[in-house]
Amino acid sequence: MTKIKSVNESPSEYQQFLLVFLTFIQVLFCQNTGSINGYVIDKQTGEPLVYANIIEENTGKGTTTNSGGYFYLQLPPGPSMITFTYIGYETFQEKIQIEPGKLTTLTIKMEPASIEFTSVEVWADKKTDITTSLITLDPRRIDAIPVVGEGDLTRVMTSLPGITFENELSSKINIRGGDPDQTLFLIDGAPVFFPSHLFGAFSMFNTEAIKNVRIIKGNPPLIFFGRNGSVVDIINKDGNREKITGSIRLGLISNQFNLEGPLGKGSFFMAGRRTYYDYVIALLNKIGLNAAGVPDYYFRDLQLKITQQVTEKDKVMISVFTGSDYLDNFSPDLQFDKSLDSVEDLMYSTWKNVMFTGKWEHLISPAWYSTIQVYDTRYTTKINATNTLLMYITPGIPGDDYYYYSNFLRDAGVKAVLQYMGTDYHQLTVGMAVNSYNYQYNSDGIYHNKVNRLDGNQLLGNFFFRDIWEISPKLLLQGGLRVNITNKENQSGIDARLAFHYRLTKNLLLKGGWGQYTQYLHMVNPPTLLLLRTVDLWLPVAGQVPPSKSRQWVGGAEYRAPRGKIDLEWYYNNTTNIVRLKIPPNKYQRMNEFLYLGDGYSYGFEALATTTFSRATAQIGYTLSVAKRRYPGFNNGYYFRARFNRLHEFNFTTEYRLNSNWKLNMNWIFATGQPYTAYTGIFGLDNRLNPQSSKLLMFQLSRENEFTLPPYHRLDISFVRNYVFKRWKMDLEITIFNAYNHRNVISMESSLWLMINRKTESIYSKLMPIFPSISVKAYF
Amino acid sequence: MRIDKTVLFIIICISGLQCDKPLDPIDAFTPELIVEGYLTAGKSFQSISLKQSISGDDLFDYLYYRDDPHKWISGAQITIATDSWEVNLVEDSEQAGIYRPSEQDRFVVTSNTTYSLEVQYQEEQLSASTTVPGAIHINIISPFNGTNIDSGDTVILGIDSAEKGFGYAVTIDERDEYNNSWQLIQHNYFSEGYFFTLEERIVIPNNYFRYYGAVYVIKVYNLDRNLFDLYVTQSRSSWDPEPVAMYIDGGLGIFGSYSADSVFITVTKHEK
Repeated sequence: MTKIKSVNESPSEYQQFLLVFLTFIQVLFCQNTGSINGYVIDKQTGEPLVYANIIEENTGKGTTTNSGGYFYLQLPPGPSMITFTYIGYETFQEKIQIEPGKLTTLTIKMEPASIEFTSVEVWADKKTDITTSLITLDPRRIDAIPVVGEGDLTRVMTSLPGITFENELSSKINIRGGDPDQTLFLIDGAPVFFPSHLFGAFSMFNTEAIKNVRIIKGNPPLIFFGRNGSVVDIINKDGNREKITGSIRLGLISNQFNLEGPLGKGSFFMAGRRTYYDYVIALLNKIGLNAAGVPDYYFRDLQLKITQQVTEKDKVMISVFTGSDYLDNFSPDLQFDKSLDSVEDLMYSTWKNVMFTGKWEHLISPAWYSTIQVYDTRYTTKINATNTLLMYITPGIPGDDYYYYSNFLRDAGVKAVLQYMGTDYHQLTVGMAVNSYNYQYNSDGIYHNKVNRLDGNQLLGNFFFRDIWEISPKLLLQGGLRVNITNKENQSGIDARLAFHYRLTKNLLLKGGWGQYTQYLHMVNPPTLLLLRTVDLWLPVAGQVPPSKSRQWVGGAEYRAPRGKIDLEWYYNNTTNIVRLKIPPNKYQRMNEFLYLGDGYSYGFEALATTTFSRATAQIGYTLSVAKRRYPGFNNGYYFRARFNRLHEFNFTTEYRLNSNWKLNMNWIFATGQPYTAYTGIFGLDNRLNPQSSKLLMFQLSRENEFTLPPYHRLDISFVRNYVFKRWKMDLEITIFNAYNHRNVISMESSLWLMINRKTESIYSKLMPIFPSISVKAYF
Repeated sequence: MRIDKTVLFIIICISGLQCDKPLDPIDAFTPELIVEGYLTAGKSFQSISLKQSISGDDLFDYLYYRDDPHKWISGAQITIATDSWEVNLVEDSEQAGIYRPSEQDRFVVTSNTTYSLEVQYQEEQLSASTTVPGAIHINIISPFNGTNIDSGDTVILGIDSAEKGFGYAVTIDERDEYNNSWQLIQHNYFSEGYFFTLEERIVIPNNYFRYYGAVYVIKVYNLDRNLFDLYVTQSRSSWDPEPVAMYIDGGLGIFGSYSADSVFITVTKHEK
């Protein structure tokens, strides 16, 4: 007979032990102090504000809210003035009397600032978050960068030093010389793969859904795992707990909506987007405007988040993200030049992201906070393409070439984190995680007479520990250790991290850090898709290729002036066990045999200055960046610059209030060109397979990425008008992309030399010309 | 006018940084040595050719004019060797850049033997090697009535090979009676791919044999690694330039070996 446990039953031995243990820890660190705890929330919506700053003005002691908006702070007895700050919100101050041994619980309601301008936050006021290279974005900042269509997180990110876009056809970003797969994208704590849309014209995430974005460009804390570069940590809105609100945005090629409101003991938030570019093309064809040859493309995505405050101490959250892209009839030359339309390269591809996560946050005691999260994220892609290009330039080559790839990757796992905040000088975090990667790769094409299918899986576990130690009021030290365990032989290991903040003067802060990180996933792109980069291909190399490891060094200084801030940082990263597809990719029995295994390093200097005037705000960023790769057996084993690398990049962004109704946003970028590999000469060889034909045309290749494209520069402008129409608040946005119509070269297609009057000319692929667009956004 | 020291410092720093200078690769061309030589099992070795690559500006002339714009290289020292012997080639007195064995050094290529090539020209040295695949023989497995096939038949070839090469290349030529010539209509590569072994049977779909009464020749090449990878990577479509596999140290070109066999197919009317 099953024994039913009584609710009044005394705690089990395990529970007793846990209670004693926690009390012991608390007593160990406890002094004759009082303490405050509670939540920081948005006054209008009731949403918890994550990573808000809390400073006690007399002592300088401080903390931050955690990912649940919760805080706990020990303070000496007596009168206290507590200041709460959060990006995009009015500063809030509270006077309280701290009683020895007594806990004061607060619920701080912060008012969104009726600010004219938005900004990014680099100043390290946070007492318990000494993450180096951290930038926190005000979500409203995203709308301040002019783009075609809609606000774009990518654009905001690439306006910051150290973050560059790979090319104009891609939303992929490279942070501090790392490959795109080295950046971990998290939505509500769960990883997502390649959450981008074609051409970079559409935001990778629905910006309406975003509550907080933290970009950690380097030396990330060890609570983040799975990648060895940087982290983009996005927390979506929980939803308005007070009333139902929403907005609709209608643009020329896309629309979006969001809806939020109270639900049960919490709230919900949902947002969706759908482009209708494909319908526009169909309509053009229908009314007789020939749009044949123009690619069909659309994407749709949907986000849903439900948060419930089950008890005072328990909060549960469910978050779902799904996004699908469809591209058909796509000609990769993108020359916007009808004379080249005889070259028929057509591609069909789809890529899809599905993410589900559930989280339970539990306040064990005022000083102990636990989080348990499960997640399941899946990425699927398919590419189908035909290519008759070679028929035109190479005599003797037969008809249609085609290739087909499909790729599936799943990451499912559970992680648990326990935070202890009950001491003056230490903030302790311990945690563990278990996750599994499952992947599948299929390929077919002219080089193979059979479909190749590969499957793989890898089980990973890790334990991590972090301590933030306030050595003195001026010096903070953060140390962490993570033990990685995997079911693949010889692939377990240890990651470590150390970081410090030293406040030299009230307005000058020095910072630095070192870390070692491991990544078990490898991403490659087949050479035929190197330019396009419409999708990612993740290879099942677990157990065959060692995990990629990186070591990162960061140093810098932050200076706060009366009207702005200056942030300077330098970095050096080196990475081992990075992969590249071998050419030719045949005759190899195992995955690791058709991969080059190499290493790389990157270093650079970044400067970011922000300033605010009465009617304007400006942000100036400069980046010096060198990123190199080396693969034994390729390019004679020499280091070469990574394809995405731009040596210098300068970015200027401003918001200017023209009058009470109109605002001007402007973004100008100037960057030196990216490197590329070129054909420099030609020669002929006998065609032994077809002696009747003329000779094979062969190309002489330069060294890898030996040449450099012309500099890149572009100005985007948008005008925003706010007005009220029948009680609806509305924004009208007119955007001019590439305002002075500079056709930037994004690649040099040296394989497509053009012969005019017996003279050979290189063909350059150029960026879109000037492109105006208009959209209307209505709030209800 | 007084310039702020900080601004001056920044200007000096930035101007001292390395700058990128865009350069058109066609203008940056420098010629490279191209060596070319083929060995066929059981046949007498013919020659090695040596020339220089040409600028992209010569593309039009190369493709559409008979005058070969390549510069042929005279005065090189070229050696072919095996484990047991070595032959110095002599430049052809009538064709610049063509090097052959002298009368007394002529040799017949033997299968399963590795031949090494050394080229010395002024300060440049090129080297390569190839292991010659064995001779092959094609058996027609299906249809059973031999070289006369029905128009709806799929042809299955069996390959007998003493020494398998790196991969097979199969070409199908169609007899053009009107022009009295052969025309390549299809070729394909068969290799050990990612995870499968080299097939000893090659299936050719019936849609390649389209016309009644037409005569086709199916030729199977047993290729060494150098030739197989050259043909496969050369025919690969790529938007970003990727290297073609040539396996010549110090230069470009090909030094490869193969054996081949062929069968003639005559298509008869489908009688079902």
